[in-house]
Amino acid sequence: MIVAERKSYEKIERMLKGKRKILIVGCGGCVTVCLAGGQKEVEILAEMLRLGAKKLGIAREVTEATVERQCEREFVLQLADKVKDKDAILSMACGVGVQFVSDIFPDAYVVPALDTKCAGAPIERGIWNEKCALCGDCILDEFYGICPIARCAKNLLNGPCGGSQNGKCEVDRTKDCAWQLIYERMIKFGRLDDLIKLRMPKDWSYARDGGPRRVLKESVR
Amino acid sequence: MFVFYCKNSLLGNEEFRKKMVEKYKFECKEVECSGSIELIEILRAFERDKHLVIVGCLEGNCRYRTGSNWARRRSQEAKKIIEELSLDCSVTFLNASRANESKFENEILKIAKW
Repeated sequence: MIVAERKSYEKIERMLKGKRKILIVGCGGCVTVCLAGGQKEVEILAEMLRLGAKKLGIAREVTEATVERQCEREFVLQLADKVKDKDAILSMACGVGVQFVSDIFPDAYVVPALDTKCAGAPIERGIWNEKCALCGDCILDEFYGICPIARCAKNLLNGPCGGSQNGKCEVDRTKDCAWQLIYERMIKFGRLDDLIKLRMPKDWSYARDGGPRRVLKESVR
Repeated sequence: MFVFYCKNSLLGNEEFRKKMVEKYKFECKEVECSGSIELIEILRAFERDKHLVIVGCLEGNCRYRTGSNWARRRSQEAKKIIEELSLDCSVTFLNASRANESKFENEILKIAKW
């Protein structure tokens, strides 16, 4: 899922400067699961903005709405009545949701309340780790289910850098060395000889290097 | 001062609660467990009063096992928000047993004086 985190109140307040009628829109998808932009978080941010306005002595009208997913037209269109007459729409979705709301309501001033961090998964309660770099050309089959692009700090495809200690990455000791994990998986599957296999540079044209990506599925068009 | 209290905590005792309310003049709301108080309820309560107190059971003595731990965490979350917004408010989590009534009263007295 997409993992996101709320921006600081100071930044949000800066984006909303001079805006009186604000609609906060939550998303029931990934950001609800990672506790960043679901209905609960919308309520909390709305209350923060009300308390903030009271403190600053400014008149501010904050309304709240949460849609099933902000990245789907059908759900976003449900906001049509609420968006009317608003000075700003504060989207609590990932970057996709913010842009989608902005595309559907081009006259609305849409700003993000979250920073979209990564495509990850929870490893324990309250901790999400990046698992996928969305490179567009999955190589997980070659690395026994551990992605060296997303999980190695140096994106190394040909073995470890040599800086890890006790299975932890030298860039951040709290994180596992991806190559240590790959090595352990290779042993587990009796394929340690794969470690010396030379891998050619990855074709990044499938990733962002090829410009904004588009996925086309003719069968449903 | 506005007080949320767990009905199994020290303030759940009616006699003691009445004595405290009369003496320190605060509004209060009973909850089944202090762990059930959501962050949004704490924030909304700031519209009633600047100073909030959450009264739970002693850790390890919670009827619902981890309720007090959750209440303490939520009060810490609320403190972070107060700091972020630079609000002139406070949240205090208190837990005490019957044997510590005077200590509890001292804490309430401190908050009432703010």
